[in-house]
Amino acid sequence: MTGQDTAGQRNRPGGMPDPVVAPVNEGMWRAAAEGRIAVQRCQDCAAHRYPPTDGCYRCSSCRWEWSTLPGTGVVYSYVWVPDRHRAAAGDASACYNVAIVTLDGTEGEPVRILSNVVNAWDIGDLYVDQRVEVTGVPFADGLALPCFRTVA
Amino acid sequence: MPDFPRDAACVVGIGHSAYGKRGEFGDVGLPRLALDAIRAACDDAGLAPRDIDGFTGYCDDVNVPSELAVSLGLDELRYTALVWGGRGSGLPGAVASAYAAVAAGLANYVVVVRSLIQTTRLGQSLAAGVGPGQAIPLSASYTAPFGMALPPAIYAMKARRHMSLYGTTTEHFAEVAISARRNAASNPDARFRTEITVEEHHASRLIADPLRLYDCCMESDGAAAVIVTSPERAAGLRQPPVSIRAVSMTGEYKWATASFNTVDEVYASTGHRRAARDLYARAGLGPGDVDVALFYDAFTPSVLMSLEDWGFCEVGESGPFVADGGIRREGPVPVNPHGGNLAEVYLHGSTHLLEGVRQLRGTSRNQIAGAGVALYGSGVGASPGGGIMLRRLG
Repeated sequence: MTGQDTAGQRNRPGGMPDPVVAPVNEGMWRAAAEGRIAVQRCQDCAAHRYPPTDGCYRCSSCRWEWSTLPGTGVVYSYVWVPDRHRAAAGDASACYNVAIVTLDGTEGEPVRILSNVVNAWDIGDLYVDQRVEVTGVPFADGLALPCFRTVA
Repeated sequence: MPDFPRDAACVVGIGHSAYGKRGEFGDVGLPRLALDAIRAACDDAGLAPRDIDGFTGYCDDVNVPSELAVSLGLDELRYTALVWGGRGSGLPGAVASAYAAVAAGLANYVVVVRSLIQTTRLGQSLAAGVGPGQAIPLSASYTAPFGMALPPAIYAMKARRHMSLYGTTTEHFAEVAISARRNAASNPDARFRTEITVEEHHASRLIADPLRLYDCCMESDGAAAVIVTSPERAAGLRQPPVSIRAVSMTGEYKWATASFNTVDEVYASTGHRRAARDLYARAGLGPGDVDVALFYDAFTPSVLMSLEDWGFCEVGESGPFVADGGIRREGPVPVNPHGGNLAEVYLHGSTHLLEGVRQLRGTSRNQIAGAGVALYGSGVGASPGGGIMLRRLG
């Protein structure tokens, strides 16, 4: 399970499924477990891309490798969703966020990732263009979701 | 590209089943709902059901044309097509397929049908949110684990970006819902006929900030159908034919369901600016010629973004446009006089097409005086959505 951790220090939606681990995405879950953001990079034109795809949007090559990025970025947009799982457990006002983050250090068109900013708890805690950095949230042995924390 | 063959097919019949709440018709079953809509459309057109010889559909409709054909007593079944991708946005593709089939002589009378029982819908688990232990498709692995499992969140994410870029407000979203309820109030077929206020909108339950309950359609059961045929065949039928002036089903660049990695310029849109470009070029008509706009409005921001994408206002100016009464029945761009997905019934935009035909026949309960051209624009979905231009003949 990938819900809120026992210490209550991460704002994560309750009851959500784990991702399907496949050759096209396993490297990013393993990188996140080490606190890194890795995305696919085309071996022919060097463009980064996300979410994982078999072919490159820029040159259509199917040759790719994992590439570690700086791990920082800025919030592009976000939503707040009432967490019905935490509400059922007695925390009626709990909301989780889903944020789209534009990643730093990419080649090609901007690369955005959809994730959670796990140290933001209230609607006033997020804004467009806010700076964030990666933090891994484990979901299996050696595998983690790439999530984010705000940067002071 | 060769010139588009304009006005090569007409809508000659429209029909729908009873409309119900989510799951209400689970025991009736999808085939019966579709048959009710198709038979009503045949009655409307003055055709016998056996005259139908083609079916098109979208959004993974699980009705099987050959089985519908048996229940309708079809003499021959010449053409079937289901739009590949597009989901709820696929209506223009289904109409394009019927249009092309008729224009090419592949079939004589093609039914475009959408039937929906929400509790048996394919993809239901993802549409309604997934629970612990439920399997998700690989493609959902980059959204669902982070809680991005509900359709309103896709619109809310775009709405938040639109607010940040252009100063759009929740009052602007509320106006879309208020206008939809106001139109539905005089439509006896509509499911939600009680008018609402800005205060009631703002007090409704938070769904995915910035969107609240009254920004969202309510899932519905039902079916709707139209019959498409050639202008020559249309001439002898019961109703004045409504011409399909043009259709388009053009997708945006890098636009999959969540579309969070499309280019920045089109992220806060419905993804139909290229479809609008193609439709207007094919029709030889522009937004200034449109008398009634039917916009896919599963969520209120869809109408704001559609106004921009289809050229009724500049990008970023849809908020002030609706605040000035721009989409009211009495305004410059009447939108969804039937109440739309938000207030009439949520059948993936198919009833918008029925309303477009009624407006051009002059038979709508909320008739726009002198309406001669109607536009349908689909919502945010898996690419491609698109547009349909209907025109009154004569």
